Amino acid sequence: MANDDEVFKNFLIEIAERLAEFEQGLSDLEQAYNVNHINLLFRAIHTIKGGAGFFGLNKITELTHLLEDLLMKIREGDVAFDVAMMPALYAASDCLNDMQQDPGYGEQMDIAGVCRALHLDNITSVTNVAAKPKPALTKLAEQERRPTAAVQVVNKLSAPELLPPKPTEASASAALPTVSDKASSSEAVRAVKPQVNNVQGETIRVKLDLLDRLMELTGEIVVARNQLLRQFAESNNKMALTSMAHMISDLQQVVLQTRMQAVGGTFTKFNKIVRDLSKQLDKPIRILIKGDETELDRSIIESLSDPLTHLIRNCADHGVESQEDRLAAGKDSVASIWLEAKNEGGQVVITVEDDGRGIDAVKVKNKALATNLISQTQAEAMSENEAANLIFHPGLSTAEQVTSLSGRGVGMDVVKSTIEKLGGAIDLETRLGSGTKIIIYLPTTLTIMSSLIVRVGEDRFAIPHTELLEVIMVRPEDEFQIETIRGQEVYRLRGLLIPVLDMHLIAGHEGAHEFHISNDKNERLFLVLKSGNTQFGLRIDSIDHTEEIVIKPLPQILKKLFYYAGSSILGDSDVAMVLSANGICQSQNLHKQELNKRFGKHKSMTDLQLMDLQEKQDLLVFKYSMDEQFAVPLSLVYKVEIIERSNIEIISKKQFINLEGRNILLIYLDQYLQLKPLPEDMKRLYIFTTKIKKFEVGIVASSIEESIHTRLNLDTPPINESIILGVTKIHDKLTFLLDLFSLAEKVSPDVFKTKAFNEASVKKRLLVVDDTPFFRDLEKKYFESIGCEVSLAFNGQEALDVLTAKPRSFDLVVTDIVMPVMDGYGLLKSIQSNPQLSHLPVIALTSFAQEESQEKAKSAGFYGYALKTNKETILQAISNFIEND
Amino acid sequence: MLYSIFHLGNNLIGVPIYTILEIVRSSKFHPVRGASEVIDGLINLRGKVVTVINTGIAFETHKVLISDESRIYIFKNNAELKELTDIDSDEDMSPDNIGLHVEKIEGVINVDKEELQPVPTNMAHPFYQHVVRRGEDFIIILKPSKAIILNSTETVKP
Repeated sequence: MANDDEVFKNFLIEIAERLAEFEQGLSDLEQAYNVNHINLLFRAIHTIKGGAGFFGLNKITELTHLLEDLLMKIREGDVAFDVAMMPALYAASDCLNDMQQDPGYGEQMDIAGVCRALHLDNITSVTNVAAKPKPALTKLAEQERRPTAAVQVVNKLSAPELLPPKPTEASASAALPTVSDKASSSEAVRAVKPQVNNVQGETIRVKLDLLDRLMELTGEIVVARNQLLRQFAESNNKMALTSMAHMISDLQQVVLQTRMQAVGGTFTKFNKIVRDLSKQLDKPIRILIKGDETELDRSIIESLSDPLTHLIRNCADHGVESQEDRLAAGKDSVASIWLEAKNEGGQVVITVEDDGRGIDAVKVKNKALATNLISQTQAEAMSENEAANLIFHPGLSTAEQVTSLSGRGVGMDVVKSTIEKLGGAIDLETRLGSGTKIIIYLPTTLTIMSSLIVRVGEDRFAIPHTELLEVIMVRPEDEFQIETIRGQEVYRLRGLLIPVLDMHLIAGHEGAHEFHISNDKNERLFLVLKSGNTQFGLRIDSIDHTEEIVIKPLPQILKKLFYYAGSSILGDSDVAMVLSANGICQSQNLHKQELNKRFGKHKSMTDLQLMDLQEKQDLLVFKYSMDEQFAVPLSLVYKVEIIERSNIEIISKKQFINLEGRNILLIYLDQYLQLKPLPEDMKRLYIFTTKIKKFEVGIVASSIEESIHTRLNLDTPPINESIILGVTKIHDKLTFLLDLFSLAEKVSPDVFKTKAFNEASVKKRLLVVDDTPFFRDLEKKYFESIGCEVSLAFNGQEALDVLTAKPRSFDLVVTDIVMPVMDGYGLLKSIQSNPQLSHLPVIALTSFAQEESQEKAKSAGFYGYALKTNKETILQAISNFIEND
Repeated sequence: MLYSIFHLGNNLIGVPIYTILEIVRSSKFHPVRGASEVIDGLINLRGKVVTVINTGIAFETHKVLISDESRIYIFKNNAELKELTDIDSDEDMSPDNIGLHVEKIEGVINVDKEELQPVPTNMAHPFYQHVVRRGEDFIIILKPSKAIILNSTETVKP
C-alpha cells in the first residue's frame, strides 16, 4: 500500500539520521567518556532496533540488539567503559551504515564477525590490531567540539527511556527524539549551542518545495512592499503601511532562516571519511572540526559536499606524509586536518588546513611549464602561493600515480568551478614542509540583500552591500589619480594598487553600446569591491539609491555570464542585473598578489614615475615671454631680483647688470632655445641668479611663477637640446627643466667648460646605476663627454651582478639611492662586504638636496655625494676621485 | 493539436499552444550586457523575470523590432509543463520561463497528426520540427525547446 511505502521511507530517513547521531556520539565518546554520550548512543540504537524489528529486518535487529546490550551494561555500571571498545563500536557503526545502504538491508550480509566483536569477552582481544595511536586526548578535548544541528544532549535527570513514536505515526509530523536541554547541567552548556530553528528542541519535517515556494512568495512581498513604500512616501497617513513594512522585514528574516542550515550536518561525515582514509592509507590522521553551527543557505551546503570531500581526500592522500617522514621531520606522528567554518563580514569562510608536506611549488611550476600552461618568464615571476594556485588548472595533477582517491587531474579545477558557480571564491596558501590551507569564501545567502543601485550609461546595476567596500570619487585636483599601466587602469588606494575595471571591459560585446555618459566635470566615480582577498575598482556614472532586493538567480540560458549574480526587480518595476564581485574577479583573472607583483618589476616610464615617488624636489618655476614655462632646482638659485632694463650694461656683446656691487652676466633664453624674445617694451625684468664655478649668472625671466615642492617626474624632452634636462607637468602646464650648467657652458665656453679628462692615461671606467632611464642616459652622456667609459645598471642588484662578474673592470661606481630591488645603500653595503669589490669607491647620486642626506651618505661610507641635477657637484665628486687615484 | 502561428519575414511559423503560458505585448527590454545579441533582454512579468529571445536574430535573418504588432510568447517552464496531465510532452523547456519576441501573430490553427510532414532537407534547420501545408501557405512547426537550448549564451570574451 502506498501508505506503507511512505512509512517505510520515513523509517529509512530515520535510520540514516540516527546512525549519523550514533557516529557523532562515538566520536564524542572517544574523546572523553561521559554518561550522556552513552545515553545518546543508546537511544539512537534503540530507535533503529525498534523500527528494524517492526519491518522484519532481522540482521539489523540482531546487531542493534547487541549494541544496545553493551551500551546498557556500560550505562548501568556493570561494565566499565574502556577505550579499547571503540574499534568494535566503530565497526558496528560502519556495518550498520553498509546495511542501511544495501538493497536487501543487510539481510544477506554476514555480520557474524562484527557481532562477535561486541561480545564482552572479545572486546579486549580485538583491540590492539585495529587501534591507531591516538593523540593525547586532553589536547583534542581542548578543541571545541559541537554536536550537529540535529543532536542535543540529554540532561542526566530526564527520562532516559524516551521511546520514539512508532513508525506508523511517522507520516507528516514525526518529532525527532531530541529532548530539550534544561541548561542546568554543565556538560549540556558545553555541548549545546542554541539552534535557531530548534529553540525548544521540537522540529518538524517539511517538504522542501513548500519552503522554496515560501521563499519565493516572501520575495515578491518584499518587492511589492518596496513599491508601496515608494508610492506612499509623501503620504501623511501611512501608519498601517509602515507597521506592515516592519512586519514584512521580520517575516523576511525568519523565512530566510528556514533555508539556512548549519554546515555541521555536512561536516560530520568527514569524521568517518577521515577514519576510513586513515586506515586505507595507513597514515594516522585526525580531523578537527570547528564552527559546525555556522549557517549557510541549504542549496549551497548541498553543493559543498563534493568539493569538500575532494579537498579532504587530497589532504589525506597527497598532503599528509607517511608516519616515518613525519617523525623524521619532527612532526607529530598523527597528522591533523582542520575543517573550520565561520562567518566573516557577510560571507561564510570555510578552511581546510593540514599540517602535511605542503605543495611543492617547484614541482607544480615544472609541470605547468611542461604542459605549456605558463611561460618561463611567468614561472620566474611567481611566488610560492601563486605557483601553488596553479593546481586549480584543469589537467595539472602532479601525483605520480593516479590513485583511486584523487589525483585524476580533474579534481581541483572542478572544486574551483563548483565554488565559483555558487558565487564564491577559493584561495590557497601553502608552505613547503609545513602544510597547506585552502580557503573557501561563500555568500551567506543568495536571495534578499541590501544593495546599492548604480548607473552605468543607460543601465542600472545592483551591488550587494556585502561585496562593497567603499565608493571613491577622484577629482582632477586629487593627489592620487587613476593611472594607466600597460593598458590597465589602476588606482593607488592607501598604498594598495588596485585595478579599476569598467562594465564595458567586463561585459565586452562587439557592437557594444557606449557605456559611460561623458562627465564634463572630469570626475571619476568608482566602487571598490572585494572578492575574498582581492580588491578592485569598478567605474560607474552615478549612484541611485540603496534598496533591499530579491536576487533572482540567472536563468539557465544566461548562466555563463559569471559576473552577474542574478537579476532583480527594483521598487519601480525596472529590472536590474545584480553584479557578483567574485564573478567579476574570476572573469578578469584577478589574483590577489598578481597586480603588485606584475607592476613591481615593470620598467616603463610611467611605472617608474610611480616608483620615483619618494624623490621630491623644490623647483623654481618661471615663465619666459608669457608662453613657455621653465623650472630650475631651487637649490641652485641664489637670488631672485627685479631689474630695470635701462640699467643693463653691454660689455663685448654680453649683457651685465650690477647689483650691490656684483657684476652679473645675464642670460637670455631665446638666444639658446627657439623662443620668442622678450617684448621690447618690457621695462622690468625678473632674474634669478645662480652660482656656477663661483661666477654668478642671472637668468632672465618674464615672470617668476612660484616655487613648488614636487616629485621630479621627467620625460625625455621633445627637443634635442642639452640645456633642457627634461620636461614635466606643473599644474597641467608643460614645463621644461633647465640645465643651468649646460647653459653656462654654452654662454661662456672658455669660462665654464669642464676639461675633459684627456690627460688621464687610462680612461676611467664608470658603472652608473639608476632606475630612471632618463637619468641613466643623461649621466651616461655626461660622463662620456668628460672622457669616461660608462656601463649602466638598472638597480642595485643588477649592478652587483655586473660587478661580481667582472670585479676588475670598473674604477668607480656612481649610483642612485632610491631604486627598486636593491637601493643605493644596499649596493654600497654589498660592495664593501665583498672582498673582491671593496676597493671600489662608490658615489651617491640623489635628488635630495638636504644636508642630512649628505651626512648620512658620508657616514654610510660613500666616497662622494652629488645631486643629480647639479652637474657641478657631480663633477666635484668625480674629480676628487680622479685626482686622488 | 493547436498551434499559434506567427510571421517571421516571409515565413509563417507555428508553436504548440500547450507550451505557451501567455502572450504579451512587447515593451522595453532591460538589456543584459555581455549576453549575445540573440537575447533581447529581460522583462518583468508580474514579478517574474523572463529572458526574451529575438526570433529574427535566432534565425539569423533580421532583428525583430518592437512595434504595435510585435508580441512576446511566454513559454512555460518545465515545472508548469509537468502540470499538464493530458499531454505527453517531450519538450524539455527550461527551469525558467523564456520569451520569444516575434513580429506579428497570425492566429491559431488546428493541425492533425497526419498533416505534420517532415521538413524538406533543403530547408532543414535545427529549430524546425515539421512543416504543414494549409492551402497555399507553408507553415513551419517549431520545436520551442530546441530554439531555447541552442540559444544558450556563451560568455563573450572581452
